Amino acid sequence: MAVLKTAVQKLYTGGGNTDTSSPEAPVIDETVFAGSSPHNCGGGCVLKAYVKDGVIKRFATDETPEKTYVDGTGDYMQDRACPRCRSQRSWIYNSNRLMYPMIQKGERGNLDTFERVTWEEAANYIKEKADAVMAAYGPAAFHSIYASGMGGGYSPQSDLFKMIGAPSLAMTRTHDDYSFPQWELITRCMHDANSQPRSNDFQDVYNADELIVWGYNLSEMLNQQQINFTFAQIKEIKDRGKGIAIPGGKTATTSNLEKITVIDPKYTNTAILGADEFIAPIQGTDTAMICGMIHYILTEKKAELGKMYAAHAKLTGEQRTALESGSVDSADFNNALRQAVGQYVYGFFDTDDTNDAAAGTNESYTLDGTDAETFKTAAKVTPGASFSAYVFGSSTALVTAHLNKAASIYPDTIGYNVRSYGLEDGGEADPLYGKTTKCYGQVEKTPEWAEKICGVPAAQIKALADTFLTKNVHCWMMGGLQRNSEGDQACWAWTVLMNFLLCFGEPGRSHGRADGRGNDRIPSFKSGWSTNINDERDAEALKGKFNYLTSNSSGKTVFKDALGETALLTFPNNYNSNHSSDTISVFQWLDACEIGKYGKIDEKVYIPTADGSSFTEETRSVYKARWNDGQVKRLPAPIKFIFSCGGNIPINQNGDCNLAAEVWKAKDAEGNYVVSFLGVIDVNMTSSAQYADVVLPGSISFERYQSGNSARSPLRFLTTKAVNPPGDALVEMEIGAVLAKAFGQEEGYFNGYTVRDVVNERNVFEKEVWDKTIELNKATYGMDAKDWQAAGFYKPDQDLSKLDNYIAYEQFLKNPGKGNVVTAVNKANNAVKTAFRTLSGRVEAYCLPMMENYEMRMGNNIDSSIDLVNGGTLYTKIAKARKLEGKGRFCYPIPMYIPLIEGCHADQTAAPHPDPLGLYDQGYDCNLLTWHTIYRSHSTFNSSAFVNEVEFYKRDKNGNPTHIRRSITNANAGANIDNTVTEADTKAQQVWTDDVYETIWLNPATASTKGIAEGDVIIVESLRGKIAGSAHLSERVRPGTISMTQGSWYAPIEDWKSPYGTTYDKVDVGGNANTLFGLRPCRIAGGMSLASECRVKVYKADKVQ
Amino acid sequence: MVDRTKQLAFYFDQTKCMGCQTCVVACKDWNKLQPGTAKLRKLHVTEMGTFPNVSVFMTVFGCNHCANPACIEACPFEAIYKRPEDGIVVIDRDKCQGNGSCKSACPYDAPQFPDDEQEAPQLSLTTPTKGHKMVKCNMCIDRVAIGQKPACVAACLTRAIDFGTVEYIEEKYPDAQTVKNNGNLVGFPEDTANVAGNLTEAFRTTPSFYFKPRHI
Repeated sequence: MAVLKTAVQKLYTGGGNTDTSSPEAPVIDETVFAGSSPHNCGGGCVLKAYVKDGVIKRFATDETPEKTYVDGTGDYMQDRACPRCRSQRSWIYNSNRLMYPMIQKGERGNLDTFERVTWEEAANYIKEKADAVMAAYGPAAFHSIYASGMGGGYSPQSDLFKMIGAPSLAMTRTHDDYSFPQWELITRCMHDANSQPRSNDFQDVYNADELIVWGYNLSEMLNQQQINFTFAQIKEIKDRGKGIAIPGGKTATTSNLEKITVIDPKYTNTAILGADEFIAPIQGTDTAMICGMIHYILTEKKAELGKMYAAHAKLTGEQRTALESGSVDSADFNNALRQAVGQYVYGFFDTDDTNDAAAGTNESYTLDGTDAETFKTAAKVTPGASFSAYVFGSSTALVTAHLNKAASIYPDTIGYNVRSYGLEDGGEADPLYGKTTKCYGQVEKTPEWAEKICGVPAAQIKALADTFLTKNVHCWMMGGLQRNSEGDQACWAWTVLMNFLLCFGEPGRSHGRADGRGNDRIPSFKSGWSTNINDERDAEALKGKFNYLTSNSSGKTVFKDALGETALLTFPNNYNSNHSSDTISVFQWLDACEIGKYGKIDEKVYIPTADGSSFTEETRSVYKARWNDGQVKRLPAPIKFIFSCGGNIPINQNGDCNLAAEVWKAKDAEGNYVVSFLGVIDVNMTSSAQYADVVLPGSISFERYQSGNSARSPLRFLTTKAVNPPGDALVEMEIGAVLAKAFGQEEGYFNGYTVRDVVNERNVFEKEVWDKTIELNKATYGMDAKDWQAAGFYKPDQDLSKLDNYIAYEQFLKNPGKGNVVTAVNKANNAVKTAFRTLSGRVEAYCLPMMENYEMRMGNNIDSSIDLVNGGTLYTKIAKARKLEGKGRFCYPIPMYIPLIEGCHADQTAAPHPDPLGLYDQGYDCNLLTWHTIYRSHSTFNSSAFVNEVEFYKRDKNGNPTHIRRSITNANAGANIDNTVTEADTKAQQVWTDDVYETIWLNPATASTKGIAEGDVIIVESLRGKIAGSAHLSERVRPGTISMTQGSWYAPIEDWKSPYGTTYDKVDVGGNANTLFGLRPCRIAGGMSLASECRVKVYKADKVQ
Repeated sequence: MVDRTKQLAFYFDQTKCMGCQTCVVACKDWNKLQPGTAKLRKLHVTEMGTFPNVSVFMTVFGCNHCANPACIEACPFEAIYKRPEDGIVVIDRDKCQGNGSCKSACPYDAPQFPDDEQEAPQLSLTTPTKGHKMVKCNMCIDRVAIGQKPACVAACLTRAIDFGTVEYIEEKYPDAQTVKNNGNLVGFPEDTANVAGNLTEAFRTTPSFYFKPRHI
């Protein structure tokens, strides 16, 4: 028996036991398959699967030598995988995996009444349902829902609708996404971009004095590869001081960077990684802060503003002299300033005769016979209607300063464009009907005013403004400003601010979304296969049967009537903002289903005559839509048939999960489901799959071939299939073949390949396609099958530091004004001249198209119950025709600070939050803020144990820090497992259970007032429902704000008994934040409002209800 | 004592660590452990301040392959070795009897014992006991043997971790601190305390761990 040694200090002399029998290093004997397995993450990082005995044993990542800024060698990074992809072993081998096709034989949502069927039975069932829906409702009832879980590889989703024979343009389609709906609408109207403005290249950061990261949690959302290492390098170079040599030398030769600021409501990991300064406006109040900055600049910092314009703007000699003079009260100075700003931002100040109206003067637009003179008059910014007038409220300071002609015409209150009718017969109007909130049109928006709202000290607001005036700033912006009911305003106001501050167009001066140019430098990849299914084959019969259809000029079947009142548009048909007249916002798909429950109503609309002198009153028969969206109301049919491949939108990733579940379960008087069909392809029994009528098991990482590219680095991956999907699951390419067979569309599906019985001849078709694909690309990529398997990637040795710095809007800075030329960059990295795509040829702080696009979509924008102030008027064609130009609007031509419906202000006494729903009085005293965790990609990886056990502070019902426990509630427990996989490898990775809770972050002060301690099981409750979670106390969140991550799977339990023995009705123990968030779309874009707006109650789960 | 041209060590730049735990997951995956309580690498998070003036310190490490390992001192069965060629401390699971003295002695909680959900109970021809044997970070000796970096180093998204001989690290990072030189890393355990917080009698493990701390 060995002697027990005591721990005493001793000089370490010989090194313990150096017996030569010490264990040898194990041999790495797996076969390596390199590739990538992205999901909705913006990535495409290197993963290498180490495979033995048909099982993936472990993973590695990119190990090719890299060049870095910090080493001074260049910019060629390894594409390292984040913790999600590193956890894939517990994602792939998971007892939640779907093994065989199933049909729901009982009630929707009941896990116990799914029955196993053959592939043929499942496909035939889908056809039966599709045929019935087509016969009754036509193609408009079909919806190819947003689904982003598969990051590469073929998805049969859109082809299925072609097989069904639904003409693509005659289905109910959507025009935006869940990521950037506000940006996509706002900048299409008031800017050149189609989403966030374009930023200079990443490397240009080194030319700036300061990097500001605003509403962008890059560390955790990881919107593209290596953003963390990019940021970490920027920080390290900045830490070394100015003058550090930058390799490559084309973007920058030495670094100017001295500071990084992070602006976010929560102290995110991005702030941890890089913030020298942290600015924390309450979620939804950024616009107030922006107004405060502008007020400060125009009051106290005009001299600096003048100098900045003198240094960067295009000016005449007289203008430059005046602006450099610093005589801030002189007419010369202020005229020069107004003209100079007016070149870049239309409507920042009231129009005068020297600053022409500009609308209709961008020559790149054809006016379709409309009078150009009318436009010039129409788009004039009337006295007191400019954005700066709004900022100054009833104060006449800017009038005295020769900058504006009148004080603000904007009212203090604004209403909501919501339904006045009940959905059910005898039901109630929208709770916001007849209510108003503040828009502060007459309030002077000083930094001190802003402080009381946003919680950022006035001194810090001023200092931020000073930074932009005196330094070169590179400002990154992503999605954070958006995700609430007034996100449109924040995106708009921010873009105006950035352009007003000339934060663009030169090295080191940039605002917007920084993306790489990787895609531009990769040879285009040829697919070895495409399908050729004619979706117009039944077009004549359909048009004969459904009078809402017609043919367009290309012969395609489309809706006869626009989704919207296009007659209200006076702007050219090819104007960038007019894109949305035949599609709805994706966020409203559930409403487009729900309209099938409630039937129609007659509504009056007012249409101007062609010359605008008068109007007609017309009646529309429209659906009763919960959110009163004009486009949803005008749909020709409700959505009846949804198919989703690799998406969790049907239940999980939309809002108000309880409402979604109700809609899916709703039946009509005959006992048929209101929404006839939901079909899902997935790899897990997600919450959406649970509500499906048909569930088809697909493939996951390395179980299929897939290919794609990346945003940042120039690279193309081709993942070689390493293992088979388990059980009876098929790869998606083969699922498509099964469906094609049921619909008799095999010829078009296989399109030149041999038609096969893929169920009995697995992987043969897939292999043929990929062999052909590799062959087709061999010449351009120089890689054969062995090369692709070994490397996984085509990654040319392109040192990004040697690239010319792309400067966004450089031409716009040099040649501003109407219809001017800006350079874009095409795939070959060549400059392409296009006009700045607004009618004024510049950024629009006053944007008539914003109002008209809104009018077109919603049908009406006039709020007759509110008057503009001081006899002010705002033109749109219909407002003039109806002589209502002096009335208030729901969407104004300028951005405004409008408090969120379920928001909060910092100082509830001095700046009380309007609270139109009366939530404070009902005890909803906290606000919910969610963020994108690094441990899921939205709801993907929720079932992956490795990342769940590292997600901070997750606890089980006993309060123990946790890993996942085995589920016994899943219908698939004990399902057949592919017998090439050993038991040790498939040891249950467990599905989410009611034993483990999502982490809910609270400030210790908030927790203390509610008697909540670290690790307590708590309930978070909103108007929509309740979730259970585990409390974590942290000073990283603001007092009063409750914060959690998004993407957990909805798992409601009726009459749930908490670990403390208290019973609650209906608690989502999966902890999905979307159970709490509402579906009310944002004001202007009608898009996604999830993440930063929700009033909640929080209490320990021992409080009796 | 393994000399500085051979002893392999870790370098950790706390200013670049955002606590993503990619290294933690990569380590567990590479070592073919299942999810469960045994974790070869662990993150320690320390917060200071009040909102919005907050500082957060992330510290993550596995085994520090100490110059003077407490685990070797404590093990009654001489199941733990320090390799003379590179100073990596490894466990011979055949000799291990699952006693747990190593875990009590180590200030860094490096020795871990997987549970039944993480691996099948280990049997060995040379020991009569069933149960789970100790497992810990072995600096990926299998990867190092073929010229690759340990999984954590190769995984880190911000390149906050490096490794190499002491000589290499001291040359590349001349300002790097160590516990031995009275460096202070928030979140890193005291060198003299064992994981239960008990002070042993002035025992110094001298971890092969260099760091750049975030300033308080």
